[in-house]
Amino acid sequence: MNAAAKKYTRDFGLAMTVYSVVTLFLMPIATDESLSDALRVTIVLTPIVPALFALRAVLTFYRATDELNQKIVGEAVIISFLITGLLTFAYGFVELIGFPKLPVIAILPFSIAVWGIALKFVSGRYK
Amino acid sequence: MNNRIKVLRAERDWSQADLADRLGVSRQTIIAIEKGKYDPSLPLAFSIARTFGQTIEDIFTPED
Repeated sequence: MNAAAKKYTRDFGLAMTVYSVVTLFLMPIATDESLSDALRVTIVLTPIVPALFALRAVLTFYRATDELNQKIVGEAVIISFLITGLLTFAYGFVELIGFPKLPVIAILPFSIAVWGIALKFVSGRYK
Repeated sequence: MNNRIKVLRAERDWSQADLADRLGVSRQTIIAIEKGKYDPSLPLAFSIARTFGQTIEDIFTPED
């Protein structure tokens, strides 16, 4: 594993660990209705802070990788964006006819999963 | 594009990993270039030429 990959693994792993711990311990507190709305909103948005560090780790790694890997990652992101966008947009229509509401919080993990699958297919073209 | 990178590499007894390290790219990129699956950018092509001590035209030729 090269230096950039090691740094990414460390930084992203740390950010996700903090994100998980923050989410695990703070979310139950946010359900306490005796707290002010402002405080509850602050609590539920706190996981965004470590998530931003995770985002920075991803961007730093992307910028450190070589031109072919940037091309592969970029194409996979576009595929993920289009598939996620089209599917959620289409699901919006079926929600209108009574289908269960799609939780917005599921969209990001779904797009990341599609990105991972797209990476396999896109990188396979260069092997 | 066709290229002579594999031949030039063999002449110097460099592995794909050796060449990747010299160019600052991944081994995956070297493999893709050698197989003709990926055409390098101009800066990378110049870097490849400089590494082998040849011109770009000596290394890369258009596909027929």
